[in-house]
Amino acid sequence: MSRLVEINNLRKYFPIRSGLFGKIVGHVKAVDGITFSVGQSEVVSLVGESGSGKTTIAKCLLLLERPTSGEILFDGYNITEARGKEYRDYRRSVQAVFQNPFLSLDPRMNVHDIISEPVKNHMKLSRKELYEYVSKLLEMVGLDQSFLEKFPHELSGGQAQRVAIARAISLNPKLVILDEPTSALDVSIQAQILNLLAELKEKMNLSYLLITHDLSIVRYISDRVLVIYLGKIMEEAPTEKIFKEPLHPYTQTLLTSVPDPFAKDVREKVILRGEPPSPTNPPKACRFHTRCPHVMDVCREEEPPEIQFGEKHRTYCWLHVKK
Amino acid sequence: MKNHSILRVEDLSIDYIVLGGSLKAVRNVSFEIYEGEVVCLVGESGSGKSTVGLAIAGALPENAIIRSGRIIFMGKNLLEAETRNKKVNNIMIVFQDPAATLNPLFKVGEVISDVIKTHLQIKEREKIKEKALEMFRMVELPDPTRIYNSYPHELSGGMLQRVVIAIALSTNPRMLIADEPTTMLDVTLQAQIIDLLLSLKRKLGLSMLFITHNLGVASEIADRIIVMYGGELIEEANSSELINNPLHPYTRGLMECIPRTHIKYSKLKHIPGTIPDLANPLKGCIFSDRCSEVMDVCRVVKPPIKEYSRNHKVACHLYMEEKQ
Repeated sequence: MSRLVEINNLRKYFPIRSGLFGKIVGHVKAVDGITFSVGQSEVVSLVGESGSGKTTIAKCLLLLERPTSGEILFDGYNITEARGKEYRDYRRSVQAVFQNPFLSLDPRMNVHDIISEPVKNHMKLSRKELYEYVSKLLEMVGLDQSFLEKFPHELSGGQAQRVAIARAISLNPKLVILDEPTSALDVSIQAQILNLLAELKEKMNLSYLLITHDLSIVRYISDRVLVIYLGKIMEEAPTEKIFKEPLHPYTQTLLTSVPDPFAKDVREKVILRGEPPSPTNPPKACRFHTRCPHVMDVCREEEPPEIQFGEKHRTYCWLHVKK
Repeated sequence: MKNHSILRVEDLSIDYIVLGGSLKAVRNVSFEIYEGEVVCLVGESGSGKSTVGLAIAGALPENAIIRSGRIIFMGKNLLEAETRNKKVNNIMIVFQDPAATLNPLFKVGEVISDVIKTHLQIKEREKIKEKALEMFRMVELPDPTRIYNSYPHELSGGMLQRVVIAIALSTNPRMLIADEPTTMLDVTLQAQIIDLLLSLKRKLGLSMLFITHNLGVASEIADRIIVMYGGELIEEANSSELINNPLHPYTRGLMECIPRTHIKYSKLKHIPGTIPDLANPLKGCIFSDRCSEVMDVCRVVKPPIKEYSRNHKVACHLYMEEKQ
């Protein structure tokens, strides 16, 4: 599998300003040294709680934020330095679907205009061709032509999310960033949308970067999972391995926190105490040590090294360091 | 569980007056909650579950009209005018978004003190604060004195939800209505709040009506689960019975939609179609146009809710014939 996106040691610090002259008094370390890659037609999930920095990574990829340091390579070129044709190509190749479709769709545009906006920018089509193109896209996401004239407020949550997906795939992108695509939807609709996304991936050979705090939806759709906490990777593994042998205590607690009516007897519940600490002043050494049920002295003193477990499975935890 | 009914809802129907007509949001809903029991109302958006909760709390919006029914709480009908004002101490409600519940201009300490002052008739400032801090400790908030002096924006979502629960419980209510209290939270915090509510239930003998769209959450907290669809009650059973032996095609569909963490499936099942239009509810069974096992009778006759086995009621024609 060739690599589509490579993220090397990405950092994004947001300055905290205070006082009359806006003196910088500190930094929110939203993303603090993250390295991973997404392969061609691969689905990679970023999993973590609020404040873990998962959405900031997405924003850096979408060029909505400029990374503080580190590089993002797409098809071999560095996107933060891309200009001209490369830049236009990049914008076209990477699209996003966000959590709340009613916030990401313009309430004053109808469905046809919403979907055709990016198409008009990047392709030269006559009005009739454009209409046909948009109808075809709608069909691909499971809506019929009667929706073309509708406005976002006339749609249900699931329908609106389908429109947002149609817009995202309208330019044949290579990578689609899905930022909590089903969190705002009901369970029965969530299943419909997940199936649609899986189907589109096969049909259009897409890669996804799925961002979610809910590990249960990850299993259906993703090939590889990265668990992040306070801007750092805790564990990375192929999806099945994350579910079968989670190594990091944080991954284990995330897994058992998902309310699953069918797994009640299968697993022991671990409830995390306390809230995630502030990323302004994250805990020293291992960032998880303040909430970790297995904390040891060394966890408070030294940052855990990267430990490889078989192929493609890595974690950062002192528990797994052999003495 | 004591077999003493604390709340009985009988034949409740509620309409919302909207531009150009009315939405029949809740139709002929009846159920009962026993003392010290947690009952979950489960349904998708538009199923009427929150409307039922609001009606019990007496907090329906102005455009809602109660068409029929009675809500009997501790022997008194809440819908009668003279009991309306007295019940406030005994039923409290917690909503989904704690940040929207609390006034951003007041410190949370002032909010809870206000509630304690009005409802418990305590006048001394010291005693009020003492009671407030005690409530904060009860919901396991760290550093209660700091929380007391904080504004809502200074606290995280999980902490705010604990504050709201503390406020709700400060009047020593007999019953708590929790309307999707964990939906806005991360899974780890959700697990914490569920754990807290269960321990409070044990400690205080609280009865609870827990409203959620998530059957997984329901199975963790409920003694009994009631499934609503399109404003109607379609199935009711003990928690484990409902999870292991769902009868109604809608409930079965809902169960299959839940992504499971311990088994891998290549494809998720889903229920085709969308929720019904409540301005003109279907004539027969409300679920008939999305049901995969629909029969002719379903489109004409509305199935009544009937006891299928002990502690398990369902409203579906599939189970009517078997019994007769």
